[in-house]
Amino acid sequence: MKNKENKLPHLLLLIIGAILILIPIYLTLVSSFKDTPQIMQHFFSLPKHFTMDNYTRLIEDGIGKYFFNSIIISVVSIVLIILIVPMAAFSIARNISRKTAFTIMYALLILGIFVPFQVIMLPITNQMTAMGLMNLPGLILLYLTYAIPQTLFLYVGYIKLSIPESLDEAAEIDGASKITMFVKIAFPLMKPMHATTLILNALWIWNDFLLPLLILNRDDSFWTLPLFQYNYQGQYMSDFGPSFASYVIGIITITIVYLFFQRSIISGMSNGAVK
Amino acid sequence: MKDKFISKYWGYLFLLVPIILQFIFFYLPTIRGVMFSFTNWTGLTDNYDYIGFKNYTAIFSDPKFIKTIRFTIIFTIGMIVGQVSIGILVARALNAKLRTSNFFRGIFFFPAVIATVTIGMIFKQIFAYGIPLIGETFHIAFLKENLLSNPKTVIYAVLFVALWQGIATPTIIFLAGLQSIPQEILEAAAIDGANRKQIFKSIEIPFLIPSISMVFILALKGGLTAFDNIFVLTGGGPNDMTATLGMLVYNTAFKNNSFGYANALAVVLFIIIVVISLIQQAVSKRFEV
Repeated sequence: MKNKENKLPHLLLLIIGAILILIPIYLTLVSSFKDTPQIMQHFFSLPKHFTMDNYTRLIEDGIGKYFFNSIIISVVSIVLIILIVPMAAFSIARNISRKTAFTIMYALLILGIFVPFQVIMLPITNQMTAMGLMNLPGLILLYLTYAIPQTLFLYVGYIKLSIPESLDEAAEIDGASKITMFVKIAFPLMKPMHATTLILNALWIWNDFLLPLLILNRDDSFWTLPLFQYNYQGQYMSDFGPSFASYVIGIITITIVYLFFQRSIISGMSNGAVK
Repeated sequence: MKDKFISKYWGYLFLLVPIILQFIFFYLPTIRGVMFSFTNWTGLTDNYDYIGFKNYTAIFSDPKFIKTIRFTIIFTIGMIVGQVSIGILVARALNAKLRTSNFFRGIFFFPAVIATVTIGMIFKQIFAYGIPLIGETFHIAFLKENLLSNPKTVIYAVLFVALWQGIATPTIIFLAGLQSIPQEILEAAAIDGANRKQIFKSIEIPFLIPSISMVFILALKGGLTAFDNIFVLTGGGPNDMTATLGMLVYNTAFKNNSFGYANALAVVLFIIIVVISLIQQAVSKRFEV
């Protein structure tokens, strides 16, 4: 038993790390229930007089609308991604070994993985302005487009591994077309990939800042939650109580999703990272 | 007739929408971006002239670009070293089969679900009001002022915030890597009397090479294109000390109205990422088990 690993250093490391992670979360939470003078004087302590004023002010300032914008953008984008990408992936997985055209199309569709967003950030802003798409539908189209490379890559890998062609042949003998086969058999079989896709893209789209900043910043009725937080913080520089409340609202929403899908999130992250 | 058409061309039909989207919203802007990088366009008016490679030659004598490159390199190295070393340490601790592992795993992963921009704003307040309070209370001189406005500390402060969130995903990747080590190998090593250090060096590290390589690429891309948190933490200040390449592209285009020049910067950023990724691929192939 001499070689048995001493677990104490590991435990200490985990405790110190956890404290470092939890302190900012704790501060955000308690600050959201203090008024601004209290935050400035007693930054670390629990609220002396507990107040909900920050939250009522946010509601008066229209946080509901921004929250709703974020929900609409996330939900619609993800639904479209899960409708469109599996079809494309199915087509690629079945045809790539037979026709060169599909190899080329596949390459064209996943090339985006390697291009940093900064390269297209300026021309896309300029192009969206010219197309009159500086609005929610425009942003949703961009999320759909930029989700394709990585999501498609994951789906193609999954189909090749888990949905054998013999299923197609069996369906064909029964008189089903490729489309019926896809809708009735292949699509439902991709359920684990749908979950991974949902989580990866929900985290990205819900939390994204740069794209909304480029596309939606000009019209404040289009703002997403992070964009609202950013502009609100800039506007009320010296009165930051409500800002803390707005962080809590953003964090709590995504935490609910996190707790709900915790297991798939972590496996999704490690799948998604293997690109 | 219609059925025959669909059964023959279904493969192309299924790909139609993604191909169209990629061409309009990815390839078209990419090509136009490269095109603009050869112009003197301000982005404000409709007219511009092609000026050849002038933007590109100007980049390398631009003091702002050199400052930015310096910070970006320091920041990116800090991210890579921090994510790999702390990530492995935490992953090993989580892998030590403590009874509380699941609880800690949840906590360590939590920062990854919060918006990077929100984390930046929270830490901005902590640096402005929390840390100085600690400095006052315990009479620690350098903590009394805002660490973000002190040129000596700002880089560490920014790096700390980035790593606070940046540790989460690498930890999960390394944990998966550690758990992929076959139990028999570890048992055999234990029977042969290998100590912890030998196991770490000769078993864990070789098994973690693919994970390290993956974290390296993610950290590299993250470091070179960092934007959200630094944008709200420092806005690139003080005195452009913490401007990353991504921010330089944004500011050059939208604050200095040099749209053509900003596009040239973006192209240079892309080339840097491609070159380093290729070198990294070649190096990590050598070390793979």
